[in-house]
Amino acid sequence: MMKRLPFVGLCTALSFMLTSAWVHAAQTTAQTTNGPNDAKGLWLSADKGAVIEFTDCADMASALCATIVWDKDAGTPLDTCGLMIAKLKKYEDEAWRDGWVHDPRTKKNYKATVRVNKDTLSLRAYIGTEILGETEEMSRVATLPAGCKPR
Amino acid sequence: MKFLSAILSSSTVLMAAMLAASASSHAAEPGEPEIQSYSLDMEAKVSTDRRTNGLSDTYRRPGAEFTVTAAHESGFLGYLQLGTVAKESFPDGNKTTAVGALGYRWGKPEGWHFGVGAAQEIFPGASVELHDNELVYAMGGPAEVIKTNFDTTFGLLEFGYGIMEARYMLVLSKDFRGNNTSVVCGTAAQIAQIQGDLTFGEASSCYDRGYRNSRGSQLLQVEAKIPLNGNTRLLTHVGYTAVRNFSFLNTLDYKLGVIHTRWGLDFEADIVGGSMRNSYYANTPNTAMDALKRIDKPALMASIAKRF
Repeated sequence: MMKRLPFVGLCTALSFMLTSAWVHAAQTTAQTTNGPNDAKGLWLSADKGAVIEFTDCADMASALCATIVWDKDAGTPLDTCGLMIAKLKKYEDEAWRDGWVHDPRTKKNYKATVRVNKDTLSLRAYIGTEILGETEEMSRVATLPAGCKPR
Repeated sequence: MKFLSAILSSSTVLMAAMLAASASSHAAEPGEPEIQSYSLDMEAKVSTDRRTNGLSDTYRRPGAEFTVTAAHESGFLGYLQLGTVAKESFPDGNKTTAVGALGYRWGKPEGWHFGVGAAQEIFPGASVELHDNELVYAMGGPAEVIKTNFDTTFGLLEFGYGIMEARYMLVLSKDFRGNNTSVVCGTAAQIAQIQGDLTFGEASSCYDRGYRNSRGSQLLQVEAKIPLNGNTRLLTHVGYTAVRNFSFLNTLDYKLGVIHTRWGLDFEADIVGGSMRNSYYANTPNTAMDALKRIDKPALMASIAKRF
């Protein structure tokens, strides 16, 4: 009986992980019912340090552009207000694709995809193929805090 | 060591190729920014313990590690981690370890994804010299001195679906972290000596199996980082280590924790532990050889990491 215990533990732990992953997968799948316009609006970054507005690009109406419209560091040398950080050219397979994202902290640009699941926007920055990347999750906000000065 | 040199030289060549490729490609179209064709991520981490497959490498004391991960848009990755270890577990070493790996990943992050690679783990200077049978030697019988180091070479496969990740590792080197008869059974003899067990029963039955190495050992790790909100993730990990020819060392390990990102740092708290099939062998003597400590004991671990 004692020797079997690790396997019981292994099965329990695997069941827990599979269930958790399945719940997460189910939530992720739920996003597939969304359309291209769901990404549009105001989104609070994961570190709650910036609000990003996703909207039609001024120079290409069929594309999606993202601009920092509120920065907790507004008015300091780290101010990124008004900085365009992403542009995605087409909506395909329930995601905005064929675009780039700019990381203001490292000043580097990566390929990007954007997916929306209800009130969560997942911005994935990657190199080459999507598997080589990181996802930042943003939460939808209704109003824009005061901070950035009009430009 | 030869294999590591091969990996490191391959990594150097790969990195040079990656940098050359990045420098020569991706000239941005007008109005478009230049896109990175490679990434170089570094992380420094301090923790209250450093564990590998549920077993403490630091004798359940605090440790530190520095990790560099390089990825190229082609899918190739390089990985190098430097960490601290304890002399109790890796005698005569300089209390450091290095893991180098080279691999290739493909697939979709939200769907099936895969990886293949090879890794080499080294413990500079660490080795033990023990007789192939310490009990026979103690009785005045013939015994050969065998020097064993802890360096290990792995072949690895990764597969995952969404946030679920699994890693299978196969030991290609002669031994898995120095597990051979002289080390495993010799340690059993040391444990018996410290415990005052004059029968040396465990060591005796260990030696009775004849001289063995542990090439072909297998490790399976399954883990998932489940987002709780934008800054917090639930970390679940379960692993199983099957030590070839030493099945009593087979270990189930687990980790359940939370990672919270704030002020540019990753704060992690975990419950971590291992369950060795024969827990006798999880006892590790101290350097003075007068006390034992279980290195698989469940523990609450905390760590702080900074990514660069």
